[in-house]
Amino acid sequence: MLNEDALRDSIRLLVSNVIQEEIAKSGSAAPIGSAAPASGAAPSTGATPTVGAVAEALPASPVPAADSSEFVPDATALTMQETFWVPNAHDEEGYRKMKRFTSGRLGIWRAGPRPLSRAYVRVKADHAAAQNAVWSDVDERVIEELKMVKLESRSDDKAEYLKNPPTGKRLSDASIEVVKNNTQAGKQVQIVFSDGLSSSAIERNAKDVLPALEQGLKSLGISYADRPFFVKNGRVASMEEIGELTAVDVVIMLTGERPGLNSQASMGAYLAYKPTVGMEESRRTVISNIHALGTPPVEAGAQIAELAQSMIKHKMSGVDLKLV
Amino acid sequence: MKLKTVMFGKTYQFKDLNEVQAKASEQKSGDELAGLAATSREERAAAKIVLCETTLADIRNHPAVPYEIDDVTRVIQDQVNETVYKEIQNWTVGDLRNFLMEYTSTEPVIQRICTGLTSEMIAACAKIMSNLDLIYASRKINNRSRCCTEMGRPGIALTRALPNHSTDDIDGIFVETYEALAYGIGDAMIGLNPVQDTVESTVYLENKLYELRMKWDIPTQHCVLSHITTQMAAIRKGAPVDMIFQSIAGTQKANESFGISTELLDEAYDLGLHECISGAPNPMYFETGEGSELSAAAHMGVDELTLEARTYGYARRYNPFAVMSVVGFIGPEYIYDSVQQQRGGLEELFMGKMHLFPMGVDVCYTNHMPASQNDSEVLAMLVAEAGMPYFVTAPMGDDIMLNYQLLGNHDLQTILELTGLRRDPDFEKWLQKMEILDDNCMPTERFGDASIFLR
Repeated sequence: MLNEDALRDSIRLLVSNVIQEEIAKSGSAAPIGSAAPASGAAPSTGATPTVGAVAEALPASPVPAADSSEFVPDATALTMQETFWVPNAHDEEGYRKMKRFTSGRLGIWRAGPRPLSRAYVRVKADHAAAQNAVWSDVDERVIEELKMVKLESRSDDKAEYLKNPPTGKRLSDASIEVVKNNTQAGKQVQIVFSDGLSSSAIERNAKDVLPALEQGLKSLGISYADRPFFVKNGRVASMEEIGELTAVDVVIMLTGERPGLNSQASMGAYLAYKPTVGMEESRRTVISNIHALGTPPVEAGAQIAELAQSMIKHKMSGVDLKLV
Repeated sequence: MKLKTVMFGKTYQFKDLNEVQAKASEQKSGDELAGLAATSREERAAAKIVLCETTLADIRNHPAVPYEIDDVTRVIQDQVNETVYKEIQNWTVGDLRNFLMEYTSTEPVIQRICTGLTSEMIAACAKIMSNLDLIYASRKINNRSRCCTEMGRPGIALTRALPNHSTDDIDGIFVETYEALAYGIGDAMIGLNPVQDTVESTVYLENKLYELRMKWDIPTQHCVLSHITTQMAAIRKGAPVDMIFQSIAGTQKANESFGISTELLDEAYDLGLHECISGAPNPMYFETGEGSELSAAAHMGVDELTLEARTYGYARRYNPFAVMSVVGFIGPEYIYDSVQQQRGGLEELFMGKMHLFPMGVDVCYTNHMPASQNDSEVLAMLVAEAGMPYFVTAPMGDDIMLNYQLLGNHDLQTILELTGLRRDPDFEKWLQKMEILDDNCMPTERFGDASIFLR
């Protein structure tokens, strides 16, 4: 048992290193964990995981030079934990210390009874990003770059997708054919992405999680389909139909989680052993909160690969697997 | 019972009362999802016309879910005051609405009539009321209850502090509570939704919140909103519990999916009356939400507003300290946008008050709903004017654990100033003692500074 754990740790480390090297080589996306602190001492969080709204800009976005005098400073650069606007606080040091324990919008002060202007416009920014994550489509360039095969659910648009969840759980007739035509016989794993409730989650995390996941599967000796699928307006359950059509052992669904004001681009990984249409939720295993400040995408990739291995070994997933 | 009408030369025929009720409902995405909603504006109007002429006896005799197969129906039917009912059984739903609007229908007159109503009658009435009708009727009714503090006095709005934390970290929970108190929030309760639903964790959190309350001598109550069976086990282990919470729904099948039954709730109520440290005459607290039955595949072909009313009928059995609906929390597939959120909030407040307990609406939405803080602020003003006794707020309206948006801590003080409503009088005194409010109950320079609690 101990040996197995040690082996698992070393594989995880290996995978993580390989990915970091590749990322460094390609010189593209920023190294993991560099998204945050803008100024001052970053709060040490102790046992509390650091969660907070940060600017996780897409590589494509133009970012102004720090010394530019033409720009209003980026209001979203500070996490809520770093934000403190109470003048003449009774105990400022203590207040700042306490704020480390929560990502809630504390210590933001007021004008009369109302929030300060800066606090108000900051919420507007975070809410805009959260809503945009839901209502936008995943950037085509991301889908193409990662060579995903494009599918669509039965939802005609976002409004129908939100109002009528069953339409997001099944594939359109045309997409069913696309799956059939792109199925590689004999593979153990099929990777699937869907926008879910946050297109931003896919845009920001897919590029990191996919190579890590594929590398992880490779080093564990698990075969996977060369190209992942991408389901537009797709809910988690759309993995079930894909599972039946491809007849793989494990479907790995990576989807956008419901955005909060502090995390608009969080991804969830849902895995199931031989999923079937209409199956119980309890047959899925989930790793949630995958983003730069939660479980880093590269680390998640390795975890997901291990989980797939365990499902293949035990021929089960979800609650059953937990009991093994 | 008449189930058809002619309108502009077209005949509208409904197959039963449930279809009339569903099609008379204002537009809700949940009813559309369930395939129950009116298919046109005219059909909706026709259903309202038929419902307006339906007698209360027709509704009593045709409960939304049959008495024989549903516990919620049995609770609702069995608690009707038969003498009052006999007096009004020949009223139409239209008569009931007119009655509520009359100047002679004062609070005690309405409250007496309410004892003769079933939940389906109250839902029907809401469906032929405008938003202003709902506000006007709601404001007349101030039902009272008591835990450690009193809820429901006219002119007084209590507010729950919501110190939720993504890992139940006690320091995080405390600082969130301090922040709320510093904004004059917390007289309804310090109510925590825990992440972990274990007896051990609930006992710990109940003790910690109780200690906090005792240390600062805060005139309020606390609540850890784990599953009812977890709280009951915590009480039996000696945890200082002020009141017992549970989410409930409007059909037996939906309640079963929540892991509860009438037998269990009866047991909890009895336990609460005998062992809650608050000594409360009203030790129960419930939360509800339109769409929870459909979400559990247990709506039994009934529209979500009628089911919500039935949920309140079920709650009434336990004389709750308060009931709160989480109007925009369940999801856009049930309450789609700000229009439906506003309508739902007003309907729920009215229907709760008609069930004779203090009713609150968590004015809220999720980020995947087409709604914004502006919409919530408008609804907050409307429910305040409608005499809502119980609000809930979080820092800048952001619940970092449940990931949804509600009213902000700043909003309460603003609403109080605009409407002339007051906090609980004992809580006001406490805030003055803490020098958070001045002698005129206006904010001091300490208002909004949570660090005054760091010592």
